[in-house]
Amino acid sequence: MHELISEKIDVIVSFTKDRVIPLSFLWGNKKYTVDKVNLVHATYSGREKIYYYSITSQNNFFKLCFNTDNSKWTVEEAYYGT
Amino acid sequence: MVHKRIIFHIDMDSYFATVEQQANPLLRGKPIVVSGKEGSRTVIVASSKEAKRLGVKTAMLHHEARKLCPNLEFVEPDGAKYEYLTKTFLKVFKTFTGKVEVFSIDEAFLDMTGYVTDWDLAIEKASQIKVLLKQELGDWMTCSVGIANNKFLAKLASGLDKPNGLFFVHEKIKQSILDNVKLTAFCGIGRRIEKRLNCLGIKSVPELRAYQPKKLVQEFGPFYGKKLHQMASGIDYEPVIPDFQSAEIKSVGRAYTLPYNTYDKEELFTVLMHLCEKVGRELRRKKLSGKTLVYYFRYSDFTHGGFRLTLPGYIDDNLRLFEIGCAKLQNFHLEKAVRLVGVHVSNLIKDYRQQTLFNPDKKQTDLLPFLDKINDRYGELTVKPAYLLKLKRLRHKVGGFKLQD
Repeated sequence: MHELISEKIDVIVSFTKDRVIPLSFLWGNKKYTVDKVNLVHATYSGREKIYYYSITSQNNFFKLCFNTDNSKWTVEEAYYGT
Repeated sequence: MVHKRIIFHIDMDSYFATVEQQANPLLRGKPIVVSGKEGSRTVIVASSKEAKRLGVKTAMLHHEARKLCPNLEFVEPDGAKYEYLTKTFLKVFKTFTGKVEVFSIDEAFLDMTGYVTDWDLAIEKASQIKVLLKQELGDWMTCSVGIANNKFLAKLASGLDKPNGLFFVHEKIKQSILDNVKLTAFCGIGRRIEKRLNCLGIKSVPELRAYQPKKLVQEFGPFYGKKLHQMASGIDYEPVIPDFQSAEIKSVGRAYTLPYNTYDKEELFTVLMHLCEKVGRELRRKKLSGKTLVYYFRYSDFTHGGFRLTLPGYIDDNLRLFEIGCAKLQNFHLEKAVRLVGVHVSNLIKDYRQQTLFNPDKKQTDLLPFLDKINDRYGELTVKPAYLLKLKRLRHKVGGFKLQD
């Protein structure tokens, strides 16, 4: 099942070389461990640079968003495995 | 040693759908399509390899695709994602050669002449590119590479071993390959050209090759007639044109398919304004102005209508573009309900600055660079005409995907 969300989350990240990699995030009082970052892409909204992380966690897919302008993380989408 | 050119054509396999499967591994191995929401009136933009195997093709209507594949999954397109990945793979290509021609968002030509000395090395480099692409884009991403001594054959070759293929057309096997493909396998021969060729009694590549070039020129004109004859022999002298030498832009346009057919002109005006806004922004971004304007409709029965006019001067202003279209549309009789609206500006000139001494639109002309700056800074449509506040259903993005400069 696919769901559009757009809710703020708390994220633990690692700064590896010149990359920021999310390791886990807290959403709705539940902690999700990032098993794999499948794809990272960036886009601009005006001059705000926004990074999107397509990740998998416990057989679920999440699209996390990091706005570099205000340093806010959100979960934008989820797709739940069966 | 090879004295001829060495050209690669690299085509990302089922690009948009594969990118979605790369992002979301739960979609891998499943028949998926990238398209608008299921049930909407958009067509299939891209289908995954799994969906293609079941006969689901690009441009199919939703119900047609669903009939072929009842468990088909629909994924909405994400242009920013595809654009970002395209820029990434182009960066990879540019580490192999300085001559990379972007052919579309998912394919490019590479002129490897001088960068590799023989065909064996060329094949080795192509394999390296395939590995690097996986490293940079993701393990699910694949591409098909065609290698030949010209662009036409390289493009043909990449389509012969899909997906994840690598096909080299050696001079010795060129003829047999050409003779065993359909006319429509050639880049430049679509259904309409095929039909016209069929009417001349040409139904295969050997028949096209044997046909008198003079008669092809009579039927298709001096340029295309000659080109068709050369295609049949696998001849192509077209150079790979890197983006820094890219051809001049001939036109700028946008179109939008409405969620339902309508006769309501008020509704069409709103869509028209949004399209003019996008076209005007694009013109100014590229420092272009145009004077031939085309406003067109696709009706419910897929026939077309609209109007075209050439102005005495050049414009790049969305409001002028809208006012002109609006005035024409007000008196225009809509024969049938409209399903698509489009705006197209051609006859372009670079860096044109209108004389504003007695120009009644001076205020608007002076204002435009500032409005553009705000929208560049804070995002598209941050400042917009109040008329666009009516816009509820229209997508933020209209008119497909393209690579921004």
